[in-house]
Amino acid sequence: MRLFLILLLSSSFHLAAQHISFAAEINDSTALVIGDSKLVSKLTFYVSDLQFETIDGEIVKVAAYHLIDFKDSNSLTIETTKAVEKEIKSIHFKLGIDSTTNVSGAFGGVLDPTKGMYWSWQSGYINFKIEGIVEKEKYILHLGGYSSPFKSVQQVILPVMKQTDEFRVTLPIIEIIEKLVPIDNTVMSPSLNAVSMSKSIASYFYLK
Amino acid sequence: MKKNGLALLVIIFFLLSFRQAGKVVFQFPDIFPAPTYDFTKNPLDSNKIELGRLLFYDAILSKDNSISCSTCHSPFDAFAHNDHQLSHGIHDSIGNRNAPPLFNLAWHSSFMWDGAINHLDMQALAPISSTTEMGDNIVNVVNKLQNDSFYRSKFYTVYGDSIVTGEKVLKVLSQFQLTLVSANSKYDQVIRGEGDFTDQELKGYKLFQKNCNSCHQEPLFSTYELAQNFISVDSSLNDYGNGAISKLKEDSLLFKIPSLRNLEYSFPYMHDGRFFELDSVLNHYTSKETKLRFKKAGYQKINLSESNKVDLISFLFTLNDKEFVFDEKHRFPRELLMKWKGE
Repeated sequence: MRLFLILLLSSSFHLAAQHISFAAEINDSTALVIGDSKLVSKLTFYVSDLQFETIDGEIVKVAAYHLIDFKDSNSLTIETTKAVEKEIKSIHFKLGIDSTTNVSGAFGGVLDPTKGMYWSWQSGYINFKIEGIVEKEKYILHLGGYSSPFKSVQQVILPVMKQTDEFRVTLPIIEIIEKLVPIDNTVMSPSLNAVSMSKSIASYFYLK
Repeated sequence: MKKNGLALLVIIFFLLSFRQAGKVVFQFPDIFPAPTYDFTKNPLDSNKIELGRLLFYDAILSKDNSISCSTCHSPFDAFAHNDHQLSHGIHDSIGNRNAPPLFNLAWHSSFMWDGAINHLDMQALAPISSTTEMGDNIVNVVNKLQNDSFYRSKFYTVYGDSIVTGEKVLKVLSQFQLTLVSANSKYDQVIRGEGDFTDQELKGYKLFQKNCNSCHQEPLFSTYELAQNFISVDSSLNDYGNGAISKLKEDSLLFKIPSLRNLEYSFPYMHDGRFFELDSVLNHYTSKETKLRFKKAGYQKINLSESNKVDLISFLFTLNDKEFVFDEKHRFPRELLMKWKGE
């Protein structure tokens, strides 16, 4: 009886930590990991300053820097350290790395330059990488740039429509490729195209 | 016997203290401004400096173990490569710039002749990855060091774990390079009241202050900002400096202002090493064409008679810091030779 009560209490009062997982949507199917796909052979990007905004305006920090790599399924889910018990109004994150971090020297963890997201011949993080083959042509988009007029980090705000423990941030890949590749299929340094492409990509994220 | 035991204890104590991580205070003369490098993010430590020194002199940083940092940055050339106009790299390749001397790096706000690198920590990525320098990449370098028992144990000594990361490699390289402080030339001694300029050097000093000091500002002898040097573009190199990085028209032909310290050791001069003599540099800055370009850009023109040039050069040679160039602390570490012999 006592055991039953404890179980009852813990199940009714304990909320699980929230998960935010990232998914790439290709032709209505959701790919969690990109393996040997020709269309998308590489998809990696930085998510930084990930926060929840609760209904009463409180900001709850979830993660400072996170590297999403669609070749590593473990990288796709970010978990809150403890459950946020208030109603969540929106999810906020930056797509990319802020300017201050870009000019502050070497960092470890996901920011270590061995992660393949840092340029060598000029300073700066690559915020977003997508590579593949579309209509028999290779495309390679490495988007970054931390200083004006090529600052490419983007703020993303996703309104939460229904409360859940599992938020799925989704990126529609076909739309992105169709929009960006005709503009330029090779971008590998900071430029105005990199900035406008970053803006486009940020606008495509949605909660599924 | 008792005496021997005591001596042994003293030796053990000495060895132990030698192995321990030692905090190092960054030292520089009072007349220098505050450093731009943020030491709180990478506090100097004697073991880290020593590990950075080993890496600086070890060709393990290059793809085929042929090129080290010191290949193009020799201590005896004030860490430049004298007599070489353009840097030499892997597979006998030739780069497109003159390897600059390395000293007083804690005061630099950007790196490389074009200012493309914004922080000393990130600078080493450029030569490691360049196909005409070391031809490798940081991932491979970290793997090589991780698989090398000598370096594994070194990283263990320094960090308390033997895991090598890009961050650690870059930060220890910074540590060694930050210790390359050149501040004991005759000029420094005169400023400290420990000596006097000759009459000719003093005349040269006055000419320097009138004509050169706005870009090559005392006491570092550079503002380390980017500026035009008004030499014509070499059509075989087509080097437009910072403009190629920032893609902004106004940055075209901007190059980092070099310090005038240690000129005797670090010839040839300019980003493409086109001038082997200081005379040639002064002739360039006082030429008719340069005067016109100065006028167009709104710079104050430089007028120097032939005897002025001799006086000015005699002053510039008071900026040579022999003690720095021959300092054993910065030289090739013998330990590396032992490692190579052991392999």
